[in-house]
Amino acid sequence: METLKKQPFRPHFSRKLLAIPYGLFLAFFVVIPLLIIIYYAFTDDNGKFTFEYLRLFFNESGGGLKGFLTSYNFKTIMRSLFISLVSTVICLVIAYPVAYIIAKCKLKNKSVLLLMFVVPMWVNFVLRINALKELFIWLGIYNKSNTWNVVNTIIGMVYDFLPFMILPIYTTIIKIDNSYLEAARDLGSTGARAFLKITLPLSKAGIMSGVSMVFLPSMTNYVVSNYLTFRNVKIIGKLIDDYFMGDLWHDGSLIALLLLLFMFLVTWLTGGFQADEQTETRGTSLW
Amino acid sequence: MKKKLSVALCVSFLLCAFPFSGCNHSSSSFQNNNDDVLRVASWDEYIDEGGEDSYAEGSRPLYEEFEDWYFQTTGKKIKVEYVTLQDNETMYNKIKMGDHYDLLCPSEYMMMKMAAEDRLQKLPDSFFDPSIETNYYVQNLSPYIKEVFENGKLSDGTPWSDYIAGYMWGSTGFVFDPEKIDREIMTSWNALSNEACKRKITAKDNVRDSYFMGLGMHYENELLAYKQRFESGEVSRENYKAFLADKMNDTSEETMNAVKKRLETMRGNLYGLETDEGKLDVASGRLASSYQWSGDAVYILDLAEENDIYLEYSIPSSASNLWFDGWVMMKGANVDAATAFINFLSIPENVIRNMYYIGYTSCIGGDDVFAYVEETYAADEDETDVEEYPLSYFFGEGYTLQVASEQTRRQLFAQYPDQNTIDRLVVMKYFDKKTNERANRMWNNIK
Repeated sequence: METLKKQPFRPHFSRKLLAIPYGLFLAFFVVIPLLIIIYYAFTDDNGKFTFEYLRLFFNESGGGLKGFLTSYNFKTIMRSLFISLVSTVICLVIAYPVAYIIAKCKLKNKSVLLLMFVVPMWVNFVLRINALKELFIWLGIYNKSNTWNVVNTIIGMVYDFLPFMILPIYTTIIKIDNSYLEAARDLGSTGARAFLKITLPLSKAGIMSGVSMVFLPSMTNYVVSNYLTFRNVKIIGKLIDDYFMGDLWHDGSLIALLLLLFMFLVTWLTGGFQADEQTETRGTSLW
Repeated sequence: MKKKLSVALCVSFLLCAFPFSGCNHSSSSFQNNNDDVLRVASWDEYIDEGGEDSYAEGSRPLYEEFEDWYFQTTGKKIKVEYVTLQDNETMYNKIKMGDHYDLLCPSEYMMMKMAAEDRLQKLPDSFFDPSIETNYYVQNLSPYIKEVFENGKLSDGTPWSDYIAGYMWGSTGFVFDPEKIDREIMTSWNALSNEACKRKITAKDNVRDSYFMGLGMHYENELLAYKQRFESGEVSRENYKAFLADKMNDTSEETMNAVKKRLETMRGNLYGLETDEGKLDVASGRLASSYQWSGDAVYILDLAEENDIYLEYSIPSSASNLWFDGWVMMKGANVDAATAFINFLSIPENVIRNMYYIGYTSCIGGDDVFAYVEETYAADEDETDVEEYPLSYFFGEGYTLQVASEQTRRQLFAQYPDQNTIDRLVVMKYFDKKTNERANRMWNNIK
């Protein structure tokens, strides 16, 4: 009987342990930096709690709301918003049909097709932007006027972030169960109606992921605007960088924090948080 | 919900990653008590790295050769850890976070800031003893730089030379194409806001250079008037220098407002702002003019020649910036090895190798360096338009070059300005905390 009790050694392993690497990553690269940002945003040089930098951001001139609406910061925010909104919309307009066509095409090896859109990403990003700059120069539209600078920045952003929009949409479309569509057709729906009632709603999660992966980076990726406009278009990412390079960490942190809150707000308002929970149950969520 | 949270956290990660990037490498943030290691922080392409591009073709990097030289001269072993950083602000942020280096190569204003914050160690007396054979620095230092360093004072009255050993120096000015823009225009700071230069000129994307440009525009007439009084002998050189230093370091509220207006006008006139990426645009002929540091100017002029474009360098006639980068020791540094490193880099053949490799001008003078400059710039025998170009202020009495006239406006002028120009070069002091904040807020609201 004694011998039966002897069992081979099994290390106590629980699935929870698998979360440790990501947990550490989360702590070191997300939570701690975030706390540091919050600390810097609301303390002064002596480490005392203050709202001074919040006040400076919104009311540097002292002119109240009117002062803020005419301030440089406000203009930069509006410019960034405009650029990233337009970039996101263009990305979506281009990406959705592409993702749809690839997902629906009869080819055996769809991944090859998809690869065509991903391969450009393997070329160094700064190199690509510089190549784009040369192209603009050749076309004669480089730094031609302020309007062209904004247009060129948007082209650069779209060029840079398009794959980030295609991939999540493709992933959700391809996962949609074809029997839904067949059922719709059986019940007499037209192709367009079936698309609007089934494919589009079910790919919403992909759209939302794509939007959040394009919208924020195109507000902050100032390498694009720096290179493509000879630093004539300033977006909010550059504003943050300027404060850090000028040894004004408090201001820089505060703006970064405001941007973060703004993104939460946008995600929440557009229903980004709920959209996923709905689709999650149907197994079409990307995350 | 959990999954959504991870999206949100990814987003916040994007935001957080960048301010945190200043904190890496802090693993090395211990005090260096190890005599066998010398930690040096400098800039990219700022020392002869050997190989094919070196003056001594096929050699090893100078910091590696130093290890052998140190062993030969002292019998002690040393390992050099040579690190390159992006700019003064990055260097400052790193040591603020606790990184330790034995030797740093900051610019003059950053040296002043570090010294004011008591982060630096003074150079030892033995370093300045010319009778010690291996003290190449003090033996070969240019009399001009020596004077500048001894007369320059920190706010507590200590001369700069107590802390810093000069490495490279130069001026700031305009690189321009004389076929596209009149020479006369480029002698004035107001070229930056001149209609003739509209969308043909670029400036630097940093607060110090911009503020200096703004001061230049604001005080131009006053400075020129005073210069005339100096040239007519009415005021002494000391007074003239003091006047320049005073005006070009003026950060009072009132002046800063005036500078702000100048910079706003300037901003609308510019083709754009740049830090490094503009060099190619000027060298390729795409841009007619650009505000540059002298060392970069030499590089741009060389590069443009390859495209058959002959650019020139001009220093505004009212005043311009005198800058230098030099070696300083952090508190707790390995003094023997650090000073030996400076001396090793001051051996004439190494000075020449560095100047050849980097393209900047060394603070070291002496016969060998002069011979190298002569070899580089002396007029060809068949050259008809030849001028005398005295460099006695830098190398000592009697050192004069015979050069082609065009060189007095080109690379040679960028490397070694003439005596008259030298008189109007001013060192720009560091902004203290409050001023730095004011200046940055002012400039951030313009560009």
